[in-house]
Parts: sequence; structure tokens; C-alpha cells
Amino acid sequence: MDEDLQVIEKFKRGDKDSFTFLINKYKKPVVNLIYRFTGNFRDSEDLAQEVFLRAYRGLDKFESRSSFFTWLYTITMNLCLRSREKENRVIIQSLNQKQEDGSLDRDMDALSQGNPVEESVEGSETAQAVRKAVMELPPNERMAVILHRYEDKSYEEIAEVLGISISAVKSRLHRARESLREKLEGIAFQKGGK
Amino acid sequence: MNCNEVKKIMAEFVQGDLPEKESGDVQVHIDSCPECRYEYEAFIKTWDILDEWKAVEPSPDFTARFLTKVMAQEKPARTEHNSIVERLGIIFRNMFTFRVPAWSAALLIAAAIFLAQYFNPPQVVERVVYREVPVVETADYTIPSNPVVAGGSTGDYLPSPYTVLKNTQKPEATEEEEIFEQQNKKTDGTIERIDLKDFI
Repeated sequence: MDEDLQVIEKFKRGDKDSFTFLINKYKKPVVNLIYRFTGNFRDSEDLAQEVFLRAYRGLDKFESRSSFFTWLYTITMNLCLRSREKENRVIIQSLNQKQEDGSLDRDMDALSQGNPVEESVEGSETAQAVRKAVMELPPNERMAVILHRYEDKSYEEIAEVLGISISAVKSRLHRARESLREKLEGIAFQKGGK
Repeated sequence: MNCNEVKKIMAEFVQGDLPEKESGDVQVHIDSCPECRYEYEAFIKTWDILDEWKAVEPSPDFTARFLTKVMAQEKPARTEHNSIVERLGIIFRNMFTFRVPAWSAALLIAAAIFLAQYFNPPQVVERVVYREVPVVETADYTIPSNPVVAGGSTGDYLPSPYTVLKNTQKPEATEEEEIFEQQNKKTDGTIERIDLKDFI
């Protein structure tokens, strides 16, 4: 029996402390999944806490038809998408307000110069270019890339997490690869040499 | 297979999603075409370079923070707002916090007025009058029939100060009564008392 499923059985029998095993095993992939999807390091931990909280509350209803990580990643993806919608609403409200007080131009300047907090996390210039290119992908392609490239998930697993067909996963990855080639080709050859 | 055909399916090729035959054809073309070979390498290198965006480590207290949060939420605390008064307070506060439309507020106020009217209607003061009742001449007093409430209906309740009414006004005697009086008139002018039992 899968190790995760054994722990979940213990949890369902009342051993709530066993959930700690699942957090310790999955906290890094979940935090990174969120970080790479949102591009925001500061919020990724808070959102990851929320993911685990939802998993903890819903684990009694988990029916082992899919693997635990698929279930956990689905929660993560849904929260990411919801957080993005919320963020967009906040940005629109903020922009409307800032247009009135004139601080919009100053913020746009700051954005074009990059976020110093994020830079310290990203490290190199290449890393920043990669981050920017990934963040510019449409959300459905971005999630497919993150799961496939960074989380090393198969087409079948990605299809299950995203609730789409395998052929849809493939075509999202093809489109994403083409976009990334266009955006990163120059820096890739600079770095690796022709 | 020409360059355009190869470029169209290059992403599938580098990802290993092409059927074996087609994949072999692309490989043959790439080996002989520098332009398409460059294209192929661009796909490979840009995919490889994604590794530059390093993973982050969750903070060391991530698990501890989660457990603290869970413990705090699992306390068998009652929900904060149990009483009706508290719930009404929340609704009232929310009205202002979430800017409930004016018509909702108006509706609420109208409902409150209606309920107040329903449970505590304005008091109507009824004037009680008593119909004068004909008095049998021989009786000292009489008890009126039920008092008449203004408007014509008859009430059952007789307020204490009016429990017994004495009617002092003598009604006009009928013809039979006058004959009766003359027949029973005493010498001193009084009329003989009649006991009802004589008639039973």
C-alpha cells in the first residue's frame, strides 16, 4: 500500500498527528508550485498554509481513487486561480484609486524597474528572464509547464490535476514550449553558447 | 519533409510526442538542415534554461505554524455569535460595511414598523353608554341589561362603578298600567306592592 495512503488511514482512524508526515513531505512542492504560478514568494507560504488547512479538513472525505498528491495539487491549483482572480480585482480597485491621487505613474515606474524584493529571491539575470517568461504564459499553459517541467509529473498526472485530456495537456505544453523559445532563445544561446 | 513542415511539429518532436515514423523523418531533416537544427537546439536550450529559476525552501517553522493554526481552530469554541441579539448586531453592522442598497434598508424599516403595529396596536377608547331601561313601577331598582357599547354592540363586561344602575325616571304608563294603578291605588296615594310569586 502507498505510504501516503497508510498515513491517511491512520488519520481517518483518529491519529491527527500523522498529518505532519504529509506536510513535511509535500510542503516544498506545494510552496514552489504556488510560488512559480503566482510569481510571488511572499504570499506563497500563506497560500500553502491554506492548502494544507483545506486538505486537513477534507482528508476524512478523501477516497483514495486518485493519489494524495493529485488531490493536494488540485486544491493548490484551485486556490492559485482563485487568488489570482482576487488579486486582479484588488489591482483594478487600486489602479482606479491611484489614478485619482496621481500615484499610478510612480508605481508603473517602480514596476518597470523590477521588484527589489523578488530580485533578491530570483538571483541571476537569467533566472529573472526565465521567471518573467513563465509568468507571461497563459495560466493554463503555465500550470502545465510547472507541473511537467518543475514537478516532473507525467501527462496522465497533469491531466488528472487539471481535469483535462492527455492530448489537451500535450498541446498546452507544445504552445508553452514555442512561447518560451521565442522569449528565451537569445539568453539561452548567450548562456549556453552556440 | 521540408523546413515549414518540420517547424510546425518541432515542439511535438522535442517533447517526444510524435509517432516513430514521423519522428524519424524530422530527425533526418534536422541532421541535414542547419536552420532547422538551430531551431531544434533553441527548443532544447530554452527548456533546459528553466532550471535557472531555482526552487525556494519553505521557512523552517512552516509545519509548526500550520499546527498552531490547526490547534487554534480545533478548540471546541462556540461560534462567536450565538445569541439573536448578537446576530442582529452583525446584520446591522454588515448593512453599513457592505453598503446594503437603500431599498433593502427601507424594506427592513417598513417590516419593523409593521411588526410593531401588529404586536402593539394603538388603543381605541370606547365610550360606554347605558341604555335606559323601563322600570317596573313597583320595583325600587333594576339591573340594566348588558351595557351598550358605542356603535351598537353589546358588551359583556360591566365596569364596577356601574354594576347597579338605578333608574329614577318614570316612563309613561300604558293604558293597561293606568287601569291597573287605579284599581290598586291605596288611600294614601301609594300603589300596592305586587309580589311576583302571585303570578307564578
